[in-house]
Amino acid sequence: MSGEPAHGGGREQGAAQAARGPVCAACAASVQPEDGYCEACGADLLVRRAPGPGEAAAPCPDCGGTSFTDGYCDQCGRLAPSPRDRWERDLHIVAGVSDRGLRHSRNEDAMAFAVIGEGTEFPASVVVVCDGVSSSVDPQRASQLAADTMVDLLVRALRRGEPAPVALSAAIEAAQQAVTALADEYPDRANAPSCTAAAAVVERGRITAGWVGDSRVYWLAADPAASCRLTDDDTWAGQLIAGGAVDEAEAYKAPHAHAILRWLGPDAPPEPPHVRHFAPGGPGLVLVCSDGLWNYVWDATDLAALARDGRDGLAATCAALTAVALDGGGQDNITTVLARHPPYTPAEPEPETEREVEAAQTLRLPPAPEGAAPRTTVHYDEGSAS
Amino acid sequence: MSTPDLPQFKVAVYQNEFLPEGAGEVNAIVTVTSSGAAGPSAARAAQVIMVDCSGSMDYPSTKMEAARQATNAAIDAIREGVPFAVVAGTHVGRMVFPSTEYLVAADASSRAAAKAAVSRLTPGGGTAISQWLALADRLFTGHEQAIRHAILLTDGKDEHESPDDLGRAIARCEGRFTCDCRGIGTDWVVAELRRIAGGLLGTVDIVADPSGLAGDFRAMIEGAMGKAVADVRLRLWSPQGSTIKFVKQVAPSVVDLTGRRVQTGPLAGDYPTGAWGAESRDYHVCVAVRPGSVGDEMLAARASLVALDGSGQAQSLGQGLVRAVWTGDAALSTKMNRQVAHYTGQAELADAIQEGLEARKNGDYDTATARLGRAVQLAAASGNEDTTRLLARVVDVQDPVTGTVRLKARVSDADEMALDTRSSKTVRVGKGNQG
Repeated sequence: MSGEPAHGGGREQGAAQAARGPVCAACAASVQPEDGYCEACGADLLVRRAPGPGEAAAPCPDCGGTSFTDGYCDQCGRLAPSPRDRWERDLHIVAGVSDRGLRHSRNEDAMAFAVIGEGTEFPASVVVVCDGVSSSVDPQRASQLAADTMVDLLVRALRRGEPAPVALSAAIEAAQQAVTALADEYPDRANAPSCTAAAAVVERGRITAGWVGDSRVYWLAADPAASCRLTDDDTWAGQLIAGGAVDEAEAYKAPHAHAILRWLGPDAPPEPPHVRHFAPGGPGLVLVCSDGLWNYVWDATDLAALARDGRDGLAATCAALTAVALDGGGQDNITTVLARHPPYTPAEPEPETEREVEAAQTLRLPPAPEGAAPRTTVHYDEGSAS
Repeated sequence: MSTPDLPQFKVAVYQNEFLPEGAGEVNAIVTVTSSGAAGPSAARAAQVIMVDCSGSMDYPSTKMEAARQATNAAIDAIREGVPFAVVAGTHVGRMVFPSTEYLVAADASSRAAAKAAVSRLTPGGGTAISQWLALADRLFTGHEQAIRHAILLTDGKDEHESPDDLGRAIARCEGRFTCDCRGIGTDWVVAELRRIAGGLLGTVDIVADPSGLAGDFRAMIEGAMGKAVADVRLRLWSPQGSTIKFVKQVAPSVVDLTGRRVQTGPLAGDYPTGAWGAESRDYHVCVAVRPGSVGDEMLAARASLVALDGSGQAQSLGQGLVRAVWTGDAALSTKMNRQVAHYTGQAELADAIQEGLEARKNGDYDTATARLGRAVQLAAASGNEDTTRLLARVVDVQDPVTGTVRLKARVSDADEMALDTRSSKTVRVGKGNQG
């Protein structure tokens, strides 16, 4: 995992950094203002990425035991507490919370996100949320691998200047290959780890959503009424809704409404991923979430009203949305990631010493070529987001 | 001491780990498959054959002759170099070969000498099986590194001692050697041999026709010679606050091991499984754990197979996890695992037969009809054809689906004893209906 780059150290460190010049956050080597990559360790200085869930070190919540074998407490047998049970990550302009919920023993959701080119002319955020398929074995392996793989690829592709739809399509296909490769480790291939994926690339004036399964991307406009869902679920109910036959509340009453039609993993239907782009009319938030959230609040306007334009900070807003799902019963794992559009910190008066590393400001990313021929086949969904 | 030639063990757990809120009973079938070691001759073995020489073996005299032939067949089947002895059993245990209390390595001359001694065996005297077992135990002293196996053949009731004497002798021999028991004729007591075989982790069967004895003895010796690792234990760890409700071997036959637990740690205990060759056995483990709430997950038991090496150090041969996951989804928690359901039925089948035969013996024909009817139903549903066939010699089956039967007016002792001894034989999942 790439470390936090030069300008990711937090406000407290800003003054110190400014005093001795920019340093690489991964290895603390000094970097030059014109460097895109750290000369010492190769870290990408223009990418700030949320770290993964990490390793557990907590005592058993039931008996206080501190030794675990096979993932269970040696005293009381309880499932070892996992850092995945609830993890929160905050990159200021993107933040996320992933929570086990109240009715599942493990958090099989995963999230990954990064911000690219902060302070440059072409800033972007990439967000991925994946939901492990519960009927598969070790679904959390699939979801985290898919999320990490997609963010890796998206960051590299966008840094190369590839257009977001092409990058997103390629990233989902790469995740499909990575997750399918896991199946070799499982005797029962049909039940090998599988997951859904929903991803968003947020650029200035353009949001690109890509997905497989029933995790969602929403546009939450500053004016809640202008909000909309950018994805259509790959479920029986999702197809009915997309076809306009029934409304959401009605469609999801059917017994098998939630059965997903597409996923990442072995035996996945070999269709290209859905990719759709959307031009937001102004500032707002992009929400990428698992069904553990939207099962409780599915209407974009309602979600936007709850998010209150992220005025309390995105991390607090994610926590508040998660709390709504928990209060509603927390039947499933809940993962909520919010990214600001436009993808940079809103202008606010800041002392010059707290500005993030000057180096980045002088760099220019190559622009995304308008109308450039896609390098991989991209399947654009019919119709626009509604 | 390292034991590089231990066979490969595979442990698989079959269960429905999902429980409804508040439930605390976890059932699982633990299937253990041993692939066998590099070669059968890799392991050391020791063999004792105990032959009933009480006076009744002369009535009819074909019994004694069959016993001699069977013992000779067994002697031939012992692997070259394996130490062995032959014991004559009456109201005492007496050495047949060699003449003093020790084991002699099998080779051409020792086999010939043993067979010559066997040919001179003559019946006479009473029956006190505890004496035979005690002699066998003394003979195995000094052979603790070997896989120790005994065969016990009798034709009559253990009448010259009290059941307590026998019980004490069995207890002293538990873990010292395994013992396969055979009853010849119909004057022996199934419960007595079942008790010995149960304690000493061997098989029990009836040899109604003496001519079949030689083949049976040869097969038992070959089975013993094929064992690659002695004294394997099923070790169960279960969490604080839990209780092991039962541990049963359920395939190839039902053997209740619950009472055989030896505590090995505050939360772990060992159940003896004896020696293993290339074979597969199934165990039904039932654990009561603290009831959980929806969203909780617990390890209800860790089942491992351990072998003790020469220094008494336990070596793990493989393990499986029995889990409990509490869910609010009734579709998950109400599903019965197929293996668990199957073996629950097979264990009930064995109980129904034994209870039915007991009731029949006591003149309680209503109970006998009900229990044997249930047995017919269970045997048919699970595809246990051998048991179905044996049952049909004791009852007239009117409808195997509902278990409607009528007791036969006349049943041969041999048929009744065959059903009784073989009642614990099970079939594996997959035979019969796929329910």
